[in-house]
Amino acid sequence: MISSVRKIAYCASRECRFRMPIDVRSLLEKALDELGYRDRIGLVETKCLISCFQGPSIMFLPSGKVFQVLSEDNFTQTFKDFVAALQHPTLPLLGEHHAEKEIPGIEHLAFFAKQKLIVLRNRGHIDAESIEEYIAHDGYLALYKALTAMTPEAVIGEVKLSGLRGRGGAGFPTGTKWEETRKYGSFPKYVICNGDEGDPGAFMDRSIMESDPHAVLEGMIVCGYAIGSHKGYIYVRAEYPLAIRMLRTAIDRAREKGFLGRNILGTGFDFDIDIYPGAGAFVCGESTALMFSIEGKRGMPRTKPPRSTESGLWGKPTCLNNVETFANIPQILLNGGNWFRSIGTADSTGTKVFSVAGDVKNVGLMEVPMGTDLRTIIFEIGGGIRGNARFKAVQLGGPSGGCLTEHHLHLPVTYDSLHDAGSMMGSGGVVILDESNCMVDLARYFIQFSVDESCGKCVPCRVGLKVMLGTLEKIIEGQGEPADLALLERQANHIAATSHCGLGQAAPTPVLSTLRYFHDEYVAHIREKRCPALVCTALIRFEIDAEACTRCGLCSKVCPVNAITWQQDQVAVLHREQCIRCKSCIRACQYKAIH
Amino acid sequence: MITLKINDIEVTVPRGSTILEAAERARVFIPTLCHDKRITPYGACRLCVVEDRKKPGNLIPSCFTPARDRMDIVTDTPGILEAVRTQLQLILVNHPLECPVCDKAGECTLQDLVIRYNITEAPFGTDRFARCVDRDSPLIERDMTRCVLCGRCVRICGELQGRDELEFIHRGHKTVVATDGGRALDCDFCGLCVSTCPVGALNDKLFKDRTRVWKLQKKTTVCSHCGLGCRVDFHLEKGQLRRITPTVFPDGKKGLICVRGHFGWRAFESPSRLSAPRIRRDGALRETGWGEAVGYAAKALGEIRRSRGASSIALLTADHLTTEEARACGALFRDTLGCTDIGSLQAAGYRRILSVLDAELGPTWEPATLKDLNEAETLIVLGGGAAELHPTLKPLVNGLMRKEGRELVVLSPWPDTLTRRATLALTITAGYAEDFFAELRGALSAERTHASADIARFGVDTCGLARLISLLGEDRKTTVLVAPDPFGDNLQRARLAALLHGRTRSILPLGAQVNSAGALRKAGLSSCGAAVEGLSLIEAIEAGRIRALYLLGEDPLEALPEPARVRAALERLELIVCQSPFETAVTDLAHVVLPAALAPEKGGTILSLLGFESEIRPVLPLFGQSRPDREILRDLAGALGTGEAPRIHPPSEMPATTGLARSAAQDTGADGFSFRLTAVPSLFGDGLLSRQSPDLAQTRRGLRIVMNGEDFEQMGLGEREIVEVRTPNGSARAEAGHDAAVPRNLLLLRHAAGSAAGLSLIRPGADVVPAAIARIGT
Repeated sequence: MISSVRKIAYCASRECRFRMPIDVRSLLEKALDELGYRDRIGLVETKCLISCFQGPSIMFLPSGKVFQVLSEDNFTQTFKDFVAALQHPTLPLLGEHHAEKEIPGIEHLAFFAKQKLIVLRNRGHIDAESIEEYIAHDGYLALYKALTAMTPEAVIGEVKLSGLRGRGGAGFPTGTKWEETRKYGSFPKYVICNGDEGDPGAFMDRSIMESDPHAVLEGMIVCGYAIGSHKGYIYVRAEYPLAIRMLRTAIDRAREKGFLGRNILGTGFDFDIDIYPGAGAFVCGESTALMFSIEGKRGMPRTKPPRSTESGLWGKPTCLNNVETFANIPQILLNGGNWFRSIGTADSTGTKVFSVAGDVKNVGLMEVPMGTDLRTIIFEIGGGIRGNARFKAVQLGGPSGGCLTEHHLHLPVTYDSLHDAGSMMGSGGVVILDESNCMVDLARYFIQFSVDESCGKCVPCRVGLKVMLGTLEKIIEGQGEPADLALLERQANHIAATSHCGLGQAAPTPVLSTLRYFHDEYVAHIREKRCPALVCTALIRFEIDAEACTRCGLCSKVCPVNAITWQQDQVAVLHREQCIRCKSCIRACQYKAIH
Repeated sequence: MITLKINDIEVTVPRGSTILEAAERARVFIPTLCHDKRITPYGACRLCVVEDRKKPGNLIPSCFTPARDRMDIVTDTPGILEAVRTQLQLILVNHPLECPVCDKAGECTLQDLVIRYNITEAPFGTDRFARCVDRDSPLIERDMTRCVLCGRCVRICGELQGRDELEFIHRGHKTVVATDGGRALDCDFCGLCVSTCPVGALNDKLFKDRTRVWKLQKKTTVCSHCGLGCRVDFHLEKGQLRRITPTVFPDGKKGLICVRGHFGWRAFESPSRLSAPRIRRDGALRETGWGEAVGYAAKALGEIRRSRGASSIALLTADHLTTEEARACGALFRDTLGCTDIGSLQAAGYRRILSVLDAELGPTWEPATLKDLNEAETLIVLGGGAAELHPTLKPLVNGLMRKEGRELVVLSPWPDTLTRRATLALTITAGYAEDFFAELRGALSAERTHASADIARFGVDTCGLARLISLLGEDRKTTVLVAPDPFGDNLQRARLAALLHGRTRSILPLGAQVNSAGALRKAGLSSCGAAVEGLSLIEAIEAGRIRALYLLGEDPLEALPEPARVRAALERLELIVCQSPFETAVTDLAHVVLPAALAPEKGGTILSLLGFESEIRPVLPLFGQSRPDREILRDLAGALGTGEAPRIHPPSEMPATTGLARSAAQDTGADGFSFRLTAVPSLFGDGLLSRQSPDLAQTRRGLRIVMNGEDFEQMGLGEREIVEVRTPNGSARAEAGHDAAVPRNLLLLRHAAGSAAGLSLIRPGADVVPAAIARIGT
């Protein structure tokens, strides 16, 4: 019932802008004007409703019914239809989720049903720029509880009890880190929030910073109280201007309300936060490089010991956590460590936000309890492979993560299980690949990324990766020799064993994991000079298989240089001397007759 | 202490040592490329990997990993050797094999490792990333194609020299070491980067393409550009000096060096070296034999002594004499001739401070040593220019300051090098430094524990002062460095230091020449007489009291303000004897010129200002007919005859008053002079020896003034523009530069020594003079 709608939240995130560059707010205003509800329903701009595959969408609050904006044209009419559908539930809902009888609430959509939202609980429900809305959703209650009713030790105890592990990838127990930092008697101490999310395709941290910045601030203030620090920094990539703006606004509001600055909530505790925009180096996500960057130095990892908890930023004890880690803190304090522990598995507690991308139907963010298996993530929440193609592999953990196969779909996602399988949790990037992907090419892609992002400090990462890239390119170009496989493995193991920081140590993982699980594909490239997925252009013969050919002539029509001649009811003929290997014909042929 | 095993050899090392240090103790070789003991470990080359038997297969970089008790380290498993070999092969991917034309061949760490690990093939081919060669910088050539990116130059420049001139730019395999914007080097040119480069990427231009390292013979001696006593290696090819490098100490740690020591050696073969004795005959200087020259000098000295008395002879020494020579010199001039005026120009400040301290603290007093410096938790520097007088103090102090909790307090009227590194920098208004030191002494001796507001009139931050006083009150090991002002009076800072000695027991006067400390503290050739200070000497000559001047490597024309007045005074003298290695401005006025050997050409004992005594042997052959000073002095003594028994001279007294009218900082308002100018010492050396080096001259770039950036902008000056500087005393052309740390309306004048125009700007005895600058042609 439209009369029961209090607010309409609409998505204004970057993804949605990319998908459909329209001004949802003015469309909504116009539609509500016409319906005469303009004054009665509040509009809430949210940065992410996390169902990115449907974006931009709007959500009716408090009911949680979702409406997908399909086009600018005729918006008012479709909106009216939807509202009518709310009142007369027999009309079909727009988008993929057709409801026969009733428009389902958000929690009933397949995409959301298996999710458990802790970190993302406020997404879409609140206006991220309004501190009042955050407070109305129990915001800063955890801070109040910590400052008034808990000692710093008790806060650390609660975090330790929760079993929360760092969400940045390494999975270091957060409570232990806080305890370590508290232990050192050197002052001042610093709290750093690592928002330098650099993995290609990963955007959960950005989404949190944009849609619920106060949760991050609250986590940081609590951390400051727990470790005895009065100064926090948020290091955000400069490529996240909206996140920076939201955080700035949030910090200003929090200062106005007395949650930041001197004498927080009248308890005598001082804490303030500054934002430090990074300059876009992937390696600055590494904690020590990040600290150098804040100090104004070149972002390069330094030698340890000492650990940052002892001597970090400006040589002082520093507690650095990831955005998602901090965003978990308020909920842990409010609901207790035991509650958090009850979610997930024994060693990996709580939930994890994944950003799912690739050849899956529902791309976007999903927050699931730790231990959820890959199959649930990919096939239930993700909706399965797009275009009903076959699942081939899932790549986890960003550019330094590994590829897993069908055989691993049963794997519960925890820090340790992924590591044992030759991949890693990383920051939570999940890329689903269907059979049209060549794993050698994929490995090359990720190594290229690491080559570009290596800081250049240590030899194996700087030179070794470049050399390994050369070997992969050689294989892709069809120049591979049988000895190259052993060479690749030797190079990869050497880099992993002797690199200085996590970037270098993990960079060969895509190669090692594809060598392990897709060995045949490498062999095909090297021995048969064939790319089974028809990706590596140099290895495609561009032959037309007369048996598979249905004589449809489509290939001839799409060829931009007329290298394929076709006559009615004849097998097409490909003239290789004219062919520019653009692969248009391969993409066009539905019968896979060209290879 | 912890005990661990390295290749089954048990060693005990202090807690906190690295595995690499433990291995060194066990005499086990671990390959390194990016490691230099002078700087903190970095872990870039990954060659130093080892394994703990308890965690097999886990490669540990040993250069920065702390050794732990009961570790069982192995360094030669097949896995380690394979990793090291692969690492070397990877390094070679981007390293051109141009060893035949590389100056480093023969002492190249990479070459040595490649041979040691028998790398005979290069399995990893890849496109080499093109990097540039910087041939434009003075003194140093940077061939980045050979660079292995170990970062040693970047780190030594930042960590020790504090310049951060070099930095990595770009990233990944495109990383290069470069200056900002890729410009030519414009730094201290200390050459520490050259000294640390393990390959042939950073080259000493004076050495490049001259010879091959295996033809060189290495001789260790003491650097003679200042009195700090840095140990250096002279590399000679058939007696010909080819280069100077910092010494490698027995523990494998290289020493420190500065621009003068590293690149100043061509002074030894300067075209103005005196090669034969000369005497003035028929109004002109003519070359002659040693016998005649010494005879001439002896005769003239004897005559003046007879006719005018011994007190009419003055001796100025540049303190280039060894201790033995200084002793002989003292015996000859003070005891035999009865000369009462002995002084120095180049070491005047050091001599003055030391004599005040001697007088106030008595004979048992000992200056601080390197150990005191190393152990000091608080370093206090009185006066500006400490690291300009002794450039290696800078890396030394920067090295010390790496340790947690160290305090460096600098009380200086201008932003010198150490001010920038100070944890507490107290800037005194230029011209008031001596007044301030006197006031501070008063405040401290009255046992007042708080800074009086009165003291603030010297422009000193009162909070900072309170911090200094509280630091002095704390139980911290403290060493006080006293840096003399080159043209000012240094009495008050010396007296303040004497007072502080009561609290710290560790005072180190600076400004010594190569053997000033030896001459004063071992040979007793201390300054005495009324005419030892620059101005009083000239006044004594003008008054007709001093008739003869014996110059041991000194030149008043190149060191004293008002050169016209000095020249007029010198021209009145009946006798000037120049016993010097170099032909300088005063040589033309001399009656006798005796070519003397330089420190590396003679043997003897040298005492550094840090208290190190070294026996040095000649490392260079004598130049032309020049002779060591001891031989000249011996012959002179012989020619003078020992008619009288040597008199025992009473211990030297501190010169009564300075006679130096203190600078009138009040002058600043003088008409048309909107700036105040103060002469400051130069990193490139103001001493005679340093000024003779063509290479240092190139980097000095003549007379320079430095002013505040806003003043610079207001004047509309361009970078390195030549401007006209005017003071009530004279005018000169100088290159203008700017520095944000210089206070407004202050001009720092560099390189005045040796420049008649520069010296003409300064007023004797004044540390600050009013000045104006104008653009040329406006």
